[in-house]
Amino acid sequence: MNKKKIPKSSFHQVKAPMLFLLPNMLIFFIFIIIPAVSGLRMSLYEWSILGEHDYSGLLNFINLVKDHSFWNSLGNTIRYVFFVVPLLTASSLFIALLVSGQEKSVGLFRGFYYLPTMLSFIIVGISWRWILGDQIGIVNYLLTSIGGKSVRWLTSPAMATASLIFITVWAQTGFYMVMFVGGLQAIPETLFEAARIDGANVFQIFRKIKFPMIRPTMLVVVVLATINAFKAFELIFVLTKGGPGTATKFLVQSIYQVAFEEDRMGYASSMAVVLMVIIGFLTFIQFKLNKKDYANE
Amino acid sequence: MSKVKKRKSLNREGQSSGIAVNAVLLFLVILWTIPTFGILVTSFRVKDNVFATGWWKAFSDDSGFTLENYGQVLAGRDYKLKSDTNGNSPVKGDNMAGAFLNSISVTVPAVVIPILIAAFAAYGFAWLDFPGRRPLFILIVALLVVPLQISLIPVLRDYQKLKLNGTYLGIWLAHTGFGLPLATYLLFNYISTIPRSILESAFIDGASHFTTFVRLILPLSVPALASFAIFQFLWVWNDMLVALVFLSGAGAKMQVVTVRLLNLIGSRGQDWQLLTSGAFISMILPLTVFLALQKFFIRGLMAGSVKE
Repeated sequence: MNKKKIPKSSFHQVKAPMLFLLPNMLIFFIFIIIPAVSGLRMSLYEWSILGEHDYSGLLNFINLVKDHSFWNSLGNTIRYVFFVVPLLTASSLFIALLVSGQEKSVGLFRGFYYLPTMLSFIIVGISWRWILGDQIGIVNYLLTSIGGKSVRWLTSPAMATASLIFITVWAQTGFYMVMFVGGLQAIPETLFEAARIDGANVFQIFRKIKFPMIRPTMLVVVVLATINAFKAFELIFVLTKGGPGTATKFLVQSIYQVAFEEDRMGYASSMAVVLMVIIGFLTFIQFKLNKKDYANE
Repeated sequence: MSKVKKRKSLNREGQSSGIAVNAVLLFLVILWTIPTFGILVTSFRVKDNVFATGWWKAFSDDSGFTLENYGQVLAGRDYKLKSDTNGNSPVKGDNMAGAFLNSISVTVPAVVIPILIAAFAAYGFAWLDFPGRRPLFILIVALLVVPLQISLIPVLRDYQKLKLNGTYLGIWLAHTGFGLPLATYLLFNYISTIPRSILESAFIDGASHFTTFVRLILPLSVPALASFAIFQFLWVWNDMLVALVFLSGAGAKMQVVTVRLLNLIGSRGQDWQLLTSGAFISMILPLTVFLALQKFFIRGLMAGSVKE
């Protein structure tokens, strides 16, 4: 990712880095590493919040393999991530390309696309029920008023997943758009001038200048979108509560239910460990692929 | 300034394509804004209508629009309590002013602290060479994957021992911890692209790492600091889970806006019309922050400093 070579003669230090990193590392250990390690440990126990903690080795993981509801929520999650990440990246890049200029009007447009990210998820949930709800939604109202059939957007298994993907894209595009706009605005002006002198058209400028130059931003967006999609919980909980049936029940919701409703902290931790391993593996692959592409250029 | 002008002329290569782009933009903006617009309309509707019909029927309603929802959210909700002796007696509910102050007291330090700490670390990772640099950085990026829900319980347990539960310091530190991986990652990406010629000239002049960081790196990183500030501000401002877990011990006096909004629908029945007006009021501050900080994305900051 960072390919700069730092000459040891001028920059090699030990004391200064310690001071610069110390606060970060301290908070890291307390809030992330220690909880993660204790989660890892809990996955090897039968663990309830108030009761006994019995060491059970890999039993939790063995049970996971046989657990249909776990596989179901894992499948749901992967399907959701598979669609959300490319759609979200494409839509935020597309809009960023349209609004990356400096004009006042474009700044205002950016504000409008950014609006949904400012809503808390309860509000997002309610606003989409008024759009996709069976009885109270405007889409079905319009469909039936032109003689069509109303669609069960949030209450039939297939449509509920599609609706959730669409709403996620709507709610998060503004967030990633801001990142792409930052990346696009950091491209040196001279590149565009040179391209214009050479008579390049809009698509050539995108393919030959903008796209290669925003590759690092793209990596950040894809990595974050993947991680966030795997962790999706609140929006789904408000809109479908995992239903109909378990059609939109995702991994984090399963973890939450097993941990807090069934009080099986150890089993929930083993699910969380699986989630961490999957996300960690995908992130690793994304970094590797990106590096390889750089090398080819 | 001349750069900005050139950019404009570039964008207006052909008038016709400019109009097409703007038309597409406008169309998308309208589509994009419909759900939010629905909330805005609902926030002005009379309570009975909210439950009777969809918001798009508001324009054909006879009863029209009202400011009552905003009044009730800002000044406190009127409750008519039926009592046997005096008939109906109006009772004022809590207003949101206190919740706003709480949210601001939580959010501002919870944005500033991680930015500073992460910028320090990002500089260390990008420009200082030390043993274990790469593995440590990879560890931080890898920890982006730890779901927040997993950390909450162990942290809460420690907080109860340290009596940090229900304190501002506790929630500032928690938000700092949860926001730090992303902050470090984003700021590293930016700070590592600062041309090394700038740093070298500073070291030749005899600047220490700390001086370089404060006088050069921080000012040059304003776009990245601003974009992370926007993200973190929104995340903390809209957060409910962390606030519920770490602040509910302190009771109503430390309730933040999101928790207060949740209580509007929860304890007092379905006051959705209040929820929508509350949602709009709670958006004012993040929107202001976004509009104020977005000008820092403007390119040229870097380029300018290299040439001069």
